[in-house]
Amino acid sequence: MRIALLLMALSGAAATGGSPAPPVAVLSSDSVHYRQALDGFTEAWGSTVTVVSAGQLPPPQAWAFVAIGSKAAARRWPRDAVVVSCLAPSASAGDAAALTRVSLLPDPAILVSRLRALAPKLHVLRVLWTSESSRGDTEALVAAGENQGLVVLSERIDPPSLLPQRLRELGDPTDALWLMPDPALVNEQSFATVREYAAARKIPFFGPTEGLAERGAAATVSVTFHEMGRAAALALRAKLSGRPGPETVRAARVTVTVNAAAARAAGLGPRFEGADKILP
Amino acid sequence: MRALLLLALAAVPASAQDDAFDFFREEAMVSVASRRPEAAWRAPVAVDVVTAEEIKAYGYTSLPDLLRFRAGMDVICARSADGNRAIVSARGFSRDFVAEMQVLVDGRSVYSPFLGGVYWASLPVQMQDIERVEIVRGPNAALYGSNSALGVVNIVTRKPGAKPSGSLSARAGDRMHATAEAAEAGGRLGGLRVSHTFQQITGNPGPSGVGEANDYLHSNKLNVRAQLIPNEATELEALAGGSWQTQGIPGMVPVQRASRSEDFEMLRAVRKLESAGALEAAISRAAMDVSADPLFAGTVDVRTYQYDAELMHRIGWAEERVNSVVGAGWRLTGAYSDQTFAGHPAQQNEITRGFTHHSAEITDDLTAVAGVSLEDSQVGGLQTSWQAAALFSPHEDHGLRLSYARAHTMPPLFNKFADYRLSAPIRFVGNAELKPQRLSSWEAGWRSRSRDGALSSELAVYRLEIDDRNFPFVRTPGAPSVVSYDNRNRATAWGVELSEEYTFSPGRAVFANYTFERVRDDKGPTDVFRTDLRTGTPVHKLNMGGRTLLGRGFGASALLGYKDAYDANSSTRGTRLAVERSFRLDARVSWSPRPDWELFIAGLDLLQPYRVEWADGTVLPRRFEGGVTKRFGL
Repeated sequence: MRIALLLMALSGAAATGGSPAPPVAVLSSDSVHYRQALDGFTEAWGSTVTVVSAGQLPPPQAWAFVAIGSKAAARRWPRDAVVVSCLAPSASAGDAAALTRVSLLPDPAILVSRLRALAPKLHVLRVLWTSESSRGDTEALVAAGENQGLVVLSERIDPPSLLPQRLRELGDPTDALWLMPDPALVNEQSFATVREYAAARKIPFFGPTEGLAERGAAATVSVTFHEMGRAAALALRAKLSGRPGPETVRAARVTVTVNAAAARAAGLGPRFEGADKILP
Repeated sequence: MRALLLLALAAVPASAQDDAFDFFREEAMVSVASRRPEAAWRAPVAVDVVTAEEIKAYGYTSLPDLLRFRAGMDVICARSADGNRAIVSARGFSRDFVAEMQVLVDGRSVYSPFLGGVYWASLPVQMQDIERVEIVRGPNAALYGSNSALGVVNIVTRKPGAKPSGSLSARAGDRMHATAEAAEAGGRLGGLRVSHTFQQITGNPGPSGVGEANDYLHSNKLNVRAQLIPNEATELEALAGGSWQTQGIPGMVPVQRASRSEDFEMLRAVRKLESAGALEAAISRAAMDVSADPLFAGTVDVRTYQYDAELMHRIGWAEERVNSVVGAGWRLTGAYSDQTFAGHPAQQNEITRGFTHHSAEITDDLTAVAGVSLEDSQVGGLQTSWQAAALFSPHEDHGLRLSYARAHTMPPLFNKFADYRLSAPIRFVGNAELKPQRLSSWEAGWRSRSRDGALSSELAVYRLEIDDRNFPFVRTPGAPSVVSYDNRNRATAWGVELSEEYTFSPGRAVFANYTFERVRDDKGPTDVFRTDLRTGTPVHKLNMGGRTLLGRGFGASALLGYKDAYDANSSTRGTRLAVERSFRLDARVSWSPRPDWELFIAGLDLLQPYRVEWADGTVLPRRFEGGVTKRFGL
């Protein structure tokens, strides 16, 4: 229903648009996170956007798309379509479409520098991940760490049920843990396991979405869904203008949220350098 | 009902509404209840899913043992005279041939049309290959056609992985030894997996708990699965496999040696259509050869075969508020036996079927589900099965469902066409006029997730009626007595199923379930095997289990099951036994010194030296096993 209202509003806007074939935003569902990304996309695009849900037919002449969510990204695209996906961690390039993906992970270089600002004594960061689709982002994070003198060790947890065992097997040194934005790994149980482990060893546990700080992670370095939508719009514009670009793009604006109680318990502070939000 | 709903809503913790994990939560999916991926707890029928992780943690070594501890399931370790080694049914009606339970392996029916039922031990599927088992309790014939009136078990095997890997494992115990090997490799364009299992079981002791009951089993199983992904929208798969077994059959008439071989091939294609859902097509062939020697007068040979073709279209429309499945299928199934179909050894059944199933979100809280299947067959004639349900979800993590379904059960070929002199005094003659059984079922269910998704609860209350029930009766007393089949009796059942599962953290979980079942059977007085459904189903069943990781690579699990007393009636032997109430306790400890190694020891049926489950001349002894697994390419 809400998508329908949105469609009506946007179709009204379409009457004033100048482009003969506006980009089409395909939404996995009506969920709030997809709509936040759509807001960001629409805002950055600045003109008419046609919105359809994953099961709907796009206009026949459409050839530029933003797929918001994995279900949307999994559809079959018209030949020669230009597609950018966001909030779709398992999306991969394939078929005839040239797919550019907006990563859920902040720019690794910015991520590493923000973590080091928060935790100046951080030397060894263990990165937890599961899915094959997270491999590229994990390798990018390892490389960014190398460039800035931080040892980033990749710890693949596959299957996720091995998480407690793998945590116990983690050797020293482990100064902090980072949970990748991997749908196979990020859930209530895994989060609780990592949080308890980190608390027992008095080391900080960092996560990729702001909500995790509210749940007890020491801090999060995240990109909002709205920002990812904006990044998708910029990436789509770049592709349509013919400029070559990377397969994976990242939102530039990063938000650092600190859970003060959890951070202090993990030995961070008393000042939280670079924090955008501090939760008591 | 309103009070129940209010109670349920009052239990919702505030944190359940937190959206920190919402985005990442769209993972656990089930497909069997509606033939399309959907969250298990949103399915229109009672669905239970057993994952590969649970299979590994609890160390299940057979499908009946996996199903034994689930809510609403009736599983008996039973050796029938035709060589089956387990009875599995849902919601009661345990007997040698459970014709109302459909079992699928990767979507392919493995139900035997000859005698009715599933030969669990000889299914060409290996425990090491299983990705998950989806259990639907209650009628689902609108989607799966005849013989799925009491439930559907869908066994989903794993697809080839993305990189080269493999495993070797060996198990040995006081009554068995087994080895299993698997290898797989793949890439962006697809993959290949090959697996093999060998098993040798000494068998159960005789009725007094000593000696051997001629219950041995030697088994080899081989499976190959190839996957090709030419583009993002298309997936092609070829599956093939087989099982080859020799076994003894204990009981009043011990068969010294029975051999059973089963093989299958299947091709499947899935094509995502541009903005029009997905199209699925599958064709398959399967055959089974059985030879029992000697069975009374001499050797009995039976060959059964089945050819299947199915085309199905899934689509979401009206902004995904309506999801539809439309499909059509053709099946040719048959049996050849000079001994059991004397004079007319080749009997077959051709079935054509069309079905459609729809789920529509009427409001944000209310979803309506409806499906219908129209089936025409030589054995059953024209039959309609249908299902209607309403799902009410006033809160994202709570759902109430009300459903009604009608389903039919096709009579087995033997019951319809047999002409078989089992021994001098007994001759079986089929009834060509035998009609399909008709089942109707009402059900109310409630599902919830609470405590941040850690606690899953499900409650189901049902009542079902079976009209025109097939049962054997003495048509002509004397020597020989002529036994035939008829539709004259009616059965009713009602029950309550309650299950709870709490996950503390990955690898640490406990579950408990309770099942109450009451069956009433208006059987005719001439029922030759005195099969009494009223007392043949345990009234109360309770199962619980837990698994945990203990640190330093150690893990442990335990399963405890309680079953009320019941009467075991073996129709293949004509024997009857009052089985006492019993407990079963299984425990397992594993150790992984490294991620690629695992060692384990396990004890089964630990509470007593032996226990009786069926009138088959054997007992279930306490057993111990140990084993090791080495994985490659982690």
